[in-house]
Amino acid sequence: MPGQKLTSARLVKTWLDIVFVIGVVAACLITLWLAVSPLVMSSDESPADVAIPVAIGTGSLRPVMALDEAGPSSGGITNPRIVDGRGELRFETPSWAMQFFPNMVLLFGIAVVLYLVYLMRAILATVLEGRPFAAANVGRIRIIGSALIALGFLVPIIEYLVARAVLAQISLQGIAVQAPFDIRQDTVLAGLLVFVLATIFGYGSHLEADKSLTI
Amino acid sequence: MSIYVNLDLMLVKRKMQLTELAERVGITLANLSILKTNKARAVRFSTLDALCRELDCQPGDLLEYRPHQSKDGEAAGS
Repeated sequence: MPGQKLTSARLVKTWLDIVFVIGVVAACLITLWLAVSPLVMSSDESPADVAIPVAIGTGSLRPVMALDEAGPSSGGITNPRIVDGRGELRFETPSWAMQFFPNMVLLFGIAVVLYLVYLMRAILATVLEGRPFAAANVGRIRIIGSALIALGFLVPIIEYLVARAVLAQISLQGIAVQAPFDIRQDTVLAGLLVFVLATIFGYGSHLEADKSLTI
Repeated sequence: MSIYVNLDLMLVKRKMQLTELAERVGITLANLSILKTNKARAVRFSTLDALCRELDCQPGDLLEYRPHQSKDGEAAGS
């Protein structure tokens, strides 16, 4: 492989190494917090910030929030409304459970991302060794594709369930919010693209085996 | 694969070691072992040319087709 491409592969691997280390540190800190939080919070009732994703308005598929006009608009504009508005609801609570579960979900997300970064590092390591079409890489790329497709569906479901559980305990005035359910189409599409790459890599791996056994 | 490489037979006939042949042909010992143990998927003409030159033989002396025997004794393809 040309040196220029190997340099970029080395740079990407270094970047992934840094992301991996940061991710491990973050996961350790969250795990530590999850472990000690029941002890700390039972003695200290101080509130902490919690954030959940919300959809603004009423209606299930595309929530709509009608807006009040302050006065007559120029150009005959009427009935202004926000459609499909998304946001993050932040609030303070001393409730241990409300802080525990969002952090648990965050930890799960970090664990999945760390595993994907680990697989990408392993792929890049084989590239730097000069055998990018190693048979193991086909499996690794397939796992990355499957994980992306699964995340595209799982993350919205988990977010929806957590937001729904939290919103059931909050009463807000003046604005209607609800738990959003947005399938990550871009993540699913990226997963399918990675699957296509895995198929191409499978063929490359077959050619590589042929080449290595041609004397 | 039904194609067999009779390299060991030719080595015995020429009283030559595999290491010596590897040096003469310019192929690594590992690759020559792959050839000798019939694990190779393909042989380059240049390799065959070098082997025939050093072993003083014809390609037919090195390569042999042995049909697979099925359970009922009939010859089967690869």
